[in-house]
Amino acid sequence: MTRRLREATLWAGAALGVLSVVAGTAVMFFGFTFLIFRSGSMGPEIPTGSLALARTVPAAELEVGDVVSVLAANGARITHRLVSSTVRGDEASLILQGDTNATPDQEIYQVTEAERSIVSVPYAGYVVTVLLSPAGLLAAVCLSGMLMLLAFGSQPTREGGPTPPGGRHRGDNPGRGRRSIVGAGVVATVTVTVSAAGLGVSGTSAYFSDQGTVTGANKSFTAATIATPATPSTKRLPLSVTVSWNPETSVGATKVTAYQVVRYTTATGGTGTVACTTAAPTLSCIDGSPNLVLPSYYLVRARIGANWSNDSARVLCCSDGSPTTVVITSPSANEYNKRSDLQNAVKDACEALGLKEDDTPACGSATDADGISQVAYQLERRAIGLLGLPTGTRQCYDGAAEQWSTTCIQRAAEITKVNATTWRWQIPNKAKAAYDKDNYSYTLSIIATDALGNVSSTSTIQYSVTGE
Amino acid sequence: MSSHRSSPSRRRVTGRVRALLSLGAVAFLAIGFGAQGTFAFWTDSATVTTGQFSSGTLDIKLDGALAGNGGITTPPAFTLTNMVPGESLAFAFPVANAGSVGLTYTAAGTASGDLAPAMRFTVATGSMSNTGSAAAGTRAGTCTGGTTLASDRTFDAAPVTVTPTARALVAPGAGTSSESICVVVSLPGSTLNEFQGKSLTAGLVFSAKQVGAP
Repeated sequence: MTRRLREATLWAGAALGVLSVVAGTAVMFFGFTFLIFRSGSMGPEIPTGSLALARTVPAAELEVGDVVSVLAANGARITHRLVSSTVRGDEASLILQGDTNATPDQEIYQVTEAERSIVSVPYAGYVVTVLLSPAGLLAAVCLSGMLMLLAFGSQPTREGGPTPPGGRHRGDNPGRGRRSIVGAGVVATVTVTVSAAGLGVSGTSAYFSDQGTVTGANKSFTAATIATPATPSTKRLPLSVTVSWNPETSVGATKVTAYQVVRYTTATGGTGTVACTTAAPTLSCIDGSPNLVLPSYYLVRARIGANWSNDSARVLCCSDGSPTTVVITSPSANEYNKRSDLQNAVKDACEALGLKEDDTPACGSATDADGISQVAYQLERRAIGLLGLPTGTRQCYDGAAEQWSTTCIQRAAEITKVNATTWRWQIPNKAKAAYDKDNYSYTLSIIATDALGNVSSTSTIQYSVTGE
Repeated sequence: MSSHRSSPSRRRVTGRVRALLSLGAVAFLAIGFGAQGTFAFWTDSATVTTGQFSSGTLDIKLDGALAGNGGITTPPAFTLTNMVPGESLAFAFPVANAGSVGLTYTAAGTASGDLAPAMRFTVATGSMSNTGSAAAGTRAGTCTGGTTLASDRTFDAAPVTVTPTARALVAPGAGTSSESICVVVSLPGSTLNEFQGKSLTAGLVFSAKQVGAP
């Protein structure tokens, strides 16, 4: 039993030594390297503490999937799996990634040659590391010394007989000196061999990495949209326009910080003029522009911040809140027998209205809450022919010039203010000058414009003088 | 020696050879150990001889999620809709080392969507504070109690690094293994009209690696 232990110890020691010599030779002469994995990012295939045998190969010979060892820029030795390789000349750019890492290494390694792992043994790296420590060295020295004693210090024993371990009969051994010389030679050889072997053992790191992302859900940040404001309403006053609108609803009126009213001269396009501005939540403002060009269009622009806005549709200015009423007091829509009858009828009616005697061919009134700015007339006549049908050229009366002409246009009537809402109108000059012939039929059209520029509908009557 | 003693002699010689061979290991170790500091590579091996092995795991956890390698977490609070110019949101979450080795990490921001050119991102350490109301259009977020890492950046599809230097988190139990990162997402008051109704999806990518890794 003891002899078996001795034999086993001798074999183990010898195997270790031979392994060391073989390893040293491989490293020294054949370009092999040993790698000790200090971390586990190549697990589970190559766990922490593995010892790998690697051989230096030109970078161009590396293939994707190889376990490759390189030196990083910071001097650390990294052993990871090759993900991709870009070869340019004899230099290659390697992208490596640990098996347990989700992402490749950040550094791209520029190498001309690298160590490719051939085989790895789990835990062997721990063993080598322990052996490389002072304690390991001491242990090996003790082991070796013990083997020396076992081999050189013990007497040969009889076959099958018990041998006391460590029996000392060294003095009787005649070959001791020669053997010592042989032993020293062997040690020297091994020393030289192993000097290089030491160069071939490298600790290598298979670094871990991890990557995580914090993200908002899809489109988790959205900018608001200003709802389109309702089309505003406008109300015209003598020297201003009041524009008012309803709050938009879909976003919330409180978010709108200001409103602007913009005036245009066209229904679409063109350049707008900001007529007035109001801070939310006020929902109206007044365009005080005194010289309003008609037609004018208004829109309301909702604003948030310095640059955000949204426009309503445009609205034509302005609705007339008070329609104009035009009355033709005289003449009446009659058939007068003589022109003197017509003249007298007009004289009587218009004197009653407050005009001077025989002052006008026609008169009446115009009423509007906003006041009247202008009344226009157009008085036409045509001769009455056979069977009472109109004949001849249409003529129009120019009261200012006191004559009939073929120029048929609206001409200004004279107006006189009666009160805040009522004006009196009359065609200039005398009835006798206008109604100077019999056998004519007349058409009188009156149109009034209020103080806001709203034009009334046209009032028309027809009358005639038969001359019988 | 002599032929009649061949059997015991062979055994004894074999034992001696084996003993001598064992010296190889001693020499290997002696040379290897004694040579450290002389050759560059032993700088590595010096570490080996001290027995430092990094067994274990590396894991960065974000907002308490993403145990294990990789992943994306989508915190419900990292959302702000119907933003008007001047509004912002602060969102803070813990970045933690949940592995067993020290790590360093860098963070980079990405954003996709039509609103990306307008939105500004500020990244800081510390906690968040949000005030205001959507109805009044006054929502505002700030990061407090930390230092600003990146201020008023725009993000797009390509990651924009927001950590000036890599930040370190030691392994749990060895000290500060977690810190709070706060990001402010803001729509500046000067945002142009064209960005009304636009949206974006934003993300922060945290890349962690083992301390010492290249």
